[in-house]
Amino acid sequence: MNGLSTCERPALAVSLGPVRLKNPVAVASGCYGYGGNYREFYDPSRLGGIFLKCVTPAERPGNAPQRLVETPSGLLNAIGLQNVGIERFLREIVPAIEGIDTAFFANIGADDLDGYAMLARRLSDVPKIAAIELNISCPNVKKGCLAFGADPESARQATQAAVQSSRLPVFVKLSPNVANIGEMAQAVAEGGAAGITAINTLLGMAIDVETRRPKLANVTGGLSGPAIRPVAVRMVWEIRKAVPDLPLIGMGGILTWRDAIEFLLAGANAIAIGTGNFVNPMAPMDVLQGIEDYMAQHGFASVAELSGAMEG
Amino acid sequence: MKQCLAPLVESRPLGPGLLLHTYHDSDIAAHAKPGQFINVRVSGATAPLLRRPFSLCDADPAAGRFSVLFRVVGEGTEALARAGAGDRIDLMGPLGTAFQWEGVERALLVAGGVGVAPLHFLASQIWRAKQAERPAPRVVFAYGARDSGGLALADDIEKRVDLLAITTEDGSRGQRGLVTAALDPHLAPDTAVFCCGPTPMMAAVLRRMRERGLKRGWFSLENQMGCGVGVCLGCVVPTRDGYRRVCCDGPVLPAAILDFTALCS
Ligand SMILES: Cc1cc2nc3c(=O)[nH]c(=O)nc-3n(C[C@H](O)[C@H](O)[C@H](O)COP(=O)(O)OP(=O)(O)OC[C@H]3O[C@@H](n4cnc5c(N)ncnc54)[C@H](O)[C@@H]3O)c2cc1C
Ligand SMILES: Cc1cc2nc3c(=O)[nH]c(=O)nc-3n(C[C@H](O)[C@H](O)[C@H](O)COP(=O)(O)O)c2cc1C
Ligand code: FES
Repeated sequence: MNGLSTCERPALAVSLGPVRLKNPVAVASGCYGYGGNYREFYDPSRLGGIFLKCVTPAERPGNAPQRLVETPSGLLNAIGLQNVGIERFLREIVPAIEGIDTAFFANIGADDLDGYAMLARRLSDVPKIAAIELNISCPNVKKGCLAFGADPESARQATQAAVQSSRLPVFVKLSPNVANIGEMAQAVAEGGAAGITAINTLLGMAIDVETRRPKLANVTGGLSGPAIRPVAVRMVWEIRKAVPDLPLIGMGGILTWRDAIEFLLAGANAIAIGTGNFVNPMAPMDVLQGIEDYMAQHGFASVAELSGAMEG
Repeated sequence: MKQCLAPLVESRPLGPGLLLHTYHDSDIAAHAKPGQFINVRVSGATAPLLRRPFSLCDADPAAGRFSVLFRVVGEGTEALARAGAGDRIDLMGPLGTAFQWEGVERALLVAGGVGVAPLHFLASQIWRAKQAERPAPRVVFAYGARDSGGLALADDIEKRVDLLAITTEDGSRGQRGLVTAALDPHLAPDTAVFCCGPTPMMAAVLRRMRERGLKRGWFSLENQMGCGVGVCLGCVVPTRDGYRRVCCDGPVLPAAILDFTALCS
């Protein structure tokens, strides 16, 4: 690894098939809103990408509170895809992201294949959206979503429905709540996915031992944060082996640059930060700086060289 | 709103398990309004993971200082309690909405336990307005706690308000009973109520307000937070207007939209 002369800075841009990111650090769906809330901390145009909060065909009020529980080094959430629905998304949210210069991924969720197809079609004409992130992995809604992410054939069908209805590249967000993540990756690749994002939250649960009631009103929720990172790194590594050439964005518990480098070494082309934003609002900028310094120190000229560079 | 490493100027015990922390940061001190909060990263480790929110208890723009009053209830507050003067604490603020008192002529501030913090700040701000001969309401401050040990800052408040009515559940100071029992003489129809405390207490205050036909009121709510800046939708509470985020639509919400029946169920 000697692609870098001493005075050069490493190249940070990443190509994910048709989608170009200016750097490998993105922010995860549901953990960054629509791009504006962290403006007072840094310019969101410095991000490699923003995965928008999930949008569904109709407006959804979300689950009843309590929606969050902190667990050891983790966060259990059962938000229930609260969002304004596709019509208001197009009218109100799309104009609001106009001024931010980064790659936007629209995260979409639906109860059936027609819903996914409709959302993919409606988003095709939005120039500001670089790609779709197909959410077949939300554990917090009664039907749809996770059901599509639970077996390879349903995942392939959902992917195909979106791919066939949209001009945009479709990235599929995989659920970790499966026995064989490699098989899921292959299935969505067959369905025409332009890339994969992984992982979504791990299904979890917490009980208040005094009241003997579940801590979340929804009973179960999705676990995120540092607690899930080793699982996420392992899954990214398995996905990379299963689909060696498919663009892959890794996430799950990233808080620092070291965490991010692990994902890149395991085979991710870029990474996304979710819960880490809540803990440290500057996490994406700190991680980006750390990746750049690491690459310079270890002689990596590009992020592509670093992806999958785990030894052994 | 900003994130910074603010030096802890002083950590002062104010009763059993109660601490007053004073921090230095000129921007936060200059922008802080009563009702707003700071979100503190209590340790550099991954557990406890999330920041802990605390209402601002006072702010002094001239000295560049602000304070929070907190009760040690678990791991996060225990970690914060171990911090000493000179330590730099990672905090974000000021966050959330503030109490609106402009145009109010009669204010009734109702505090339960450590919920006194934002109302102490409000009483201080109104008192400073009076010192500067700006229009400001007459302030009655009703303050309830379990016992006299839980009445932090009562003497300080007494100097700044027109009337302080204290209740304790064990009768160790002031009138014995709940703070709601002390409200009736002060519920003239044009009174604006400002309230913070345990949810059942706030529910009782709102009920009494509505029974007496009072319209104007502001309540500071609590909920488990994720992000603290409005993105995660984790901190919502049900209201008459649908779900509202405590971190940025609140913590201070207008009485008119509150629905504690939905909130308590
Ligand atoms: C907007 C806002 C403003 C707040 N302002 C203040 C403030 O000014 N002063 C202050 O002391 N606290 C305040 N709180 C509450 C404070 O954030 C919590 O007490 C703190 O997060 C607890 O952290 P912990 O890790 O110590 O306890 P945890 O480990 O999170 O909880 C320990 C135990 O204490 C219980 N608990 C949690 N919060 C409270 C509480 N408020 N009262 C009683 N028991 C509780 C939990 O249910 C649990 O059983 C505020 C909360 C919000 C949302
Ligand atoms: C509060 C919250 C809301 C989320 N909402 C969504 C969502 O709408 N769509 C989605 O695909 N993933 C959602 N996620 C999952 C994250 O995008 C991410 O995949 C997961 O949290 C793991 O990353 P992290 O540990 O860095 O948070 C959400 C996560 C959290 C914590
Ligand atoms: S704490 Fe995230 S929206 Fe309020």
